[in-house]
Amino acid sequence: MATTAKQQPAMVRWIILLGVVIILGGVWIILNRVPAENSAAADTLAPAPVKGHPAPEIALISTDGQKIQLSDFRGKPVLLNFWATWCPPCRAETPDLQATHREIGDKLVIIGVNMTSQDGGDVDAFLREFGVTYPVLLDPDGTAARAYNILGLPTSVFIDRNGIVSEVFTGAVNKAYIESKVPEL
Amino acid sequence: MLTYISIGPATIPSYPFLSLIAFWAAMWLAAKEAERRGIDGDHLYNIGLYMFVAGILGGRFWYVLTHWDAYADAPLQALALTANAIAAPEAVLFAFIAAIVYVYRNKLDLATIADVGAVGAALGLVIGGIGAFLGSQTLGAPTTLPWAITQFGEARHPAHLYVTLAAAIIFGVLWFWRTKPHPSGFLFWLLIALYAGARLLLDPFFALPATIGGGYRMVQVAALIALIVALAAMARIEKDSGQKI
Repeated sequence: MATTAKQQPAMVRWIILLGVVIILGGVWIILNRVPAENSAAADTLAPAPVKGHPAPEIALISTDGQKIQLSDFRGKPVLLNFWATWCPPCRAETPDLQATHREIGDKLVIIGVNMTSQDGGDVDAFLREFGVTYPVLLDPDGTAARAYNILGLPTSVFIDRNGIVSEVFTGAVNKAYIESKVPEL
Repeated sequence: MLTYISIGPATIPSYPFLSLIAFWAAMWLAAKEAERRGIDGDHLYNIGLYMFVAGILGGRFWYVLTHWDAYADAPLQALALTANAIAAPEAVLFAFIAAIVYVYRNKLDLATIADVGAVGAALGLVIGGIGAFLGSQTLGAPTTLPWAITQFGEARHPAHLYVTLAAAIIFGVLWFWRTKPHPSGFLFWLLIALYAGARLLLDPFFALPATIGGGYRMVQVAALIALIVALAAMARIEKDSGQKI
């Protein structure tokens, strides 16, 4: 009984501490609540290749001479894939990108961006070898690579239908992983 | 900030690299602390390895299971080295289950191992925090304060640095307490309580929070729950051990 009597003040101390934490913590959470309109309006943020930010705009010429802007695809999920002919993982993932484009091209827009400023290879031969039919843009002065802070290849940028960056992934992607991302875009 | 680190001819992404260093440092320090307490340090390296493997495999298993529609046509792609195809919360859960299984199979005291691991984990949080800062894992909220850092054209709070500083202080507290008399399990719950408290306080300095229930920051809500659980556990430990904290 003596031990219990000694422990009682200690338990009271813990209960008071818990009460204080719950009240102050709860108030702090409420004070820092993010209004729904702000959390939905990521458009007010500066464009950046970071999850939650608007995707930086790019406007480049494709391999078949069309001028293509990223914002043309607003309303559809986009996978922006930066690559080069000399990059082995890029070669490894290209068949999966093409297969994904063939099977779910109506649900996900795949756009290749060739790092032309760093690529002395034959881009057309590469695309023919893999039978690529999704649009591939040329980036001769590295504008898009700089906008997306590309430091490793391949890099895939998943962009949702509102033009917001969902994920930046460096390394080879496969078809299953790309398809697993589509519902959240 | 410094998304990639160049070491000789190799260029390595800073966040994964420092995360690995953090993991190794946590194991190393936990093993040293275990040896100080008369426990074979190899157990801590084994537990770390079990946690790593169970976390990766469990996290991938859960990701594939919850995205089976995508993987059904090509199940072998579940084995691909796609680092992001891992369900993170479930990975942590699997890692802890693996650690608990190891502890019981080797007849170790779970509370003591948790305390030893907490000292290592606190150091890991410091190094991991530096990696998250260098790798710009998430951006800080915009600010005009003089110590703001510029990321993608905007002056922002160095939010990951704030968390890293908090982790460094927490590491200091645990380092101090580890040689003081304390009931088993206390250091583990102290780490949970202090780190949860730090995340609760500092999360508003991060931009673009994930929210739940009408705009409440998910990290803050989870941190408050963790803090309450940790304090309740510490109260229970004090009551059961009869040793004043």
